[in-house]
This record gives sequence, C-alpha cells and structure tokens, in this order.
Amino acid sequence: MDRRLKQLAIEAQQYLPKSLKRRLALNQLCAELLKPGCLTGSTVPSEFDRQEIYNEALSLTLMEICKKINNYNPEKEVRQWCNFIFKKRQQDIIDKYRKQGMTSIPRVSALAKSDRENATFSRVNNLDDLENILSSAETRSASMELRQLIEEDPDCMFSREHIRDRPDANLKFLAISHIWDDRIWSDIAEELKLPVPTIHGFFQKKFPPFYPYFREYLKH
Amino acid sequence: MTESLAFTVPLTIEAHQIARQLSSAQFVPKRAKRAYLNSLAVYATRFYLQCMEIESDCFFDRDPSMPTIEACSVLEISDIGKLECCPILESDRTVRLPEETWGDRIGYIIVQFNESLTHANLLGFIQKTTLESVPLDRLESLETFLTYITELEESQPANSIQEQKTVKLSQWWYDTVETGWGTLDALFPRTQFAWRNSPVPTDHSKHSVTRAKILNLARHDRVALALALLQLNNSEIEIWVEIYPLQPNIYLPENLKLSVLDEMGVQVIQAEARTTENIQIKFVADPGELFGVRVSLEEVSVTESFVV
Repeated sequence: MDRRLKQLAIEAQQYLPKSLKRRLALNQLCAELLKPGCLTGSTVPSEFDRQEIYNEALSLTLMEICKKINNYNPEKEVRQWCNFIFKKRQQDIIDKYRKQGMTSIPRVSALAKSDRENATFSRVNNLDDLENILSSAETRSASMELRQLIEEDPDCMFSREHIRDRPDANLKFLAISHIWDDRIWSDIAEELKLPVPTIHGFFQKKFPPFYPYFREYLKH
Repeated sequence: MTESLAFTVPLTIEAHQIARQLSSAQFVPKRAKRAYLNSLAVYATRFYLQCMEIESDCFFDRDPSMPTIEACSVLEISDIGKLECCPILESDRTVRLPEETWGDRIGYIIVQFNESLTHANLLGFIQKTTLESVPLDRLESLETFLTYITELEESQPANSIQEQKTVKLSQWWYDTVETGWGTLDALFPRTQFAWRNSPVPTDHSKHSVTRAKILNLARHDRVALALALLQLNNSEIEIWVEIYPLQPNIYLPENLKLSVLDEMGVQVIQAEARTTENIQIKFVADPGELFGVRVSLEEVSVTESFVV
C-alpha cells in the first residue's frame, strides 16, 4: 500500500496544477488514504467528541495534502507525512476548543442527538426525524400563517401576478402548489399545459420579492 | 480496469451549521429537510472541488439570508456553469433530477449520505438527462466528471471578449497602466517614431495622456497602437486612435484596417491604410462609455476593449 501511495503522490507532483492527471492522482491518493487503518492520528481526550475532532482534522488534512502536495518529500513515506499533518491538525482543533472554553463539543447531527439520548441505538431509515427536529411548533405555525395569507390573497396581491394570457397560472396557485403542496414543477406544468421553463422562470422572478413582506407579516 | 473513482468528505459542525441556517429559512418543514440535505451536498461537493483546484461559488459565499430552495443545490463553477448537487441516502436506488434544471446545468453530482450524516460520499456524475428519475447504475465515475470539467476549462477561448481585460482609460490620468501599454518614449526610441500628422499634445500637458501598445498581427508585421486622451472643457474626452508601423517598416501594411466599435461590438468608424505612414481616428466620448478598437489585416484581427 505504501508503494501505491508513494507512486500516486509523486505522480501528482509531476503534473501541473489543474491538469487532469494531477486531479486524478490526488483523487486516488485521497481515496487510498481514507481506507480504514491508513490515517491514525492520536488519541483524543475523552471529554471531546472523538468523531467531530476526527472529522474536522481529516477535513483540514485532505485539503492540505491536495493543496500542498509539492511539499511532500519522496524520501519519506506518504503515510508518515500525512499522519504528521493529521496529528498536528487534531491538536490545533483541540486547542481551539479549549481556548473557546469548551470542554466538550456539542453533537450537531440532529439524528445522532436522538441516538445519544436513548440508550438503544435507534436507526433512522428515512429522515422524517430530521424534519421533525427542524420544525418546531413555531415554524409550523408560521408556515400555516403564510399559507393562509396566500390563500386569502388580500387585494389579489398574489393572484394578479400571472403568466401572460393565463390568469389561472398565477402566483397564488403556483406558490400553494409548489411550496405548500410540494408538487414538482413538471407536474404543475402538465396540469397547466405550459412548459416547465415558463412557469419555473416566472415563479423564480415573481415570488422572492415577497420575502421581505412575509418577514414583516410574521413579526405581527 | 481501475475501481470507480469516488471521494468521501467528512461533515463537520460547520457543514451542519450552514445547513441548519439555510433550512430554517424555508417556509415548509418538508422543504426544510430537503434544503438541509441540499446544503450538505453542496458543502461536500465544494470541498471536493477545492481539493481538485476547481474554483466555485455557491449560496453561502453570497448572502445566505433568504435563498430559494433551488439555490441551495447549485454550485457555480467559475467561467463554466452551474453544477447541481443531488443528495441521496444509502437506501435510495434512484436519484431525482428535476426537469426545471435540465436546460440550465452543466451536470449533476450525486452525493450519498450515511444515516448519522457524518460523511458525504460523492458517488458519481451525470452529465445530461431527459428523465426525472435516474437509476444509480447509470452514474458515471468522478473520473468522467474530472475529465469533463478539465476539458471545459481548457476550451475557454483565449481571445473571447469576456476574457480580455477591458482597459480602464480613466486610470491613465493617474499613471496607472495595464500590462503591455507604455509611454511612447518607453516603447519606441524618439528617432523612430513621431506623431507627424497629429497635433496631439504630448504628456507635458496636464490635459492629455498618450499610451501605446505593440500589436502582433500573426504572420504579418507588428504595429503600434497608440491612444491619446484629451480632456475637453466639459466632462467629455476626445480620443485619438493611431496605428504606426514599427521599424524597419516606414509604411503600414496595405489594407490594414482600423475600426472603432461601440459597446455592442458594432463598427462605427473605420479607416484603411493605403501606402500610408499611419492612420488615425478621433472621436469624443463620455466617462463610463465602452468602446472597442479593432485592427485587422486579411484574416487576422486584434481587438482591444476600453472603458472611458
């Protein structure tokens, strides 16, 4: 494996930045390094979230390997060089968190949180959990309020915006269908017998200008 | 046959924070979830592109305050086009490529997430589709993607008008000049060159400045293009454009054409050389106006763009 790593590193160094051969070599090098047991790093103090420190350090390490491949000395082993960088980054990150006064890193994965809270490992097969976690009672009610506003359409502010000669293809209908009813554009286009680019383009142009109004509306 | 090239990106707190911010701006919970995953997909792809030294930009480089859900999944590759980042889960067998993107994207990168969202695996690439639902076995490898992008980068036309830098004439008053442009004295020894036919004041005058550049006309001889700016009493600028032969030639090549183009690239003034020592065009412009100068000889032409 070490021979393969060296071959790829030297290959990447040979070619010019942004060239195809260099990109392919770097990609393959990273793929090899990510194989289990390759990059080891040091033990992380127990009060820290091992996975998070590992991920952050790995992120920085991969980026550094790619950007600074020319710093690799072919007389050394690639794994040696990469692990050296990896360990340094781990330490930098731990120092960073310590300085911020954090002794433990909060888990941010919304799903993993539910893992942690339960003793049993609850596998998530779909991401409905994520949906539930992301939508508090507050956001649900805001969503309903906005829907209601659009349905009520005061002064026809939404329905009067429509595609030329097609009053039925108006912003009220499109917003409710696409956003609240979650219908895909090709579906809506078929119903209206209009091309997808036409209704999609119209919506992208006409709907976002209402955002500041929605923000204000929800404040009261 | 080498195994299909892939790349795994570790997802950090930062990735999740961005995703959280984006998804909280959505109107509907189901879309919030989709926005979250789209955001992670863009994050992972962008990381990969950075490792591959491909420049790109996305919604979180600009103002992430209220992006549309569509914006959440697009990565703009500099000078090339929009790449759509499509999130899928380990249990998915197909990927959805929405119809509204078909005309507008250079391709689709498929990003697979593990259950706990700690890693993103860039599985593959699809260049074009006429189906909204594509089975995963149709995916091409990242090798194909890299080949495709590298080809697109390399085929950028070197002389296209967008690529060429527009010369900012207003900077000339402050002695700031772009590469290639120099004073007449710097570029040509006095003996060789003189503004014989034009009463354009030299640089000693506060109200004028002159700069020149050597133009290569492929297999023909090189010539000198000179521009003199003369500040008029109102805010207008009088512009003199001249072409001169370079030593050892005394005359300009026959049929050499000098044209001034408007900002749309349409020719508005033209002069042609016939056994002449130089040709000259002069006109008046306002600050901020764009124009082009084209020098052509037979099949060769060089165009310079300027903004007053």
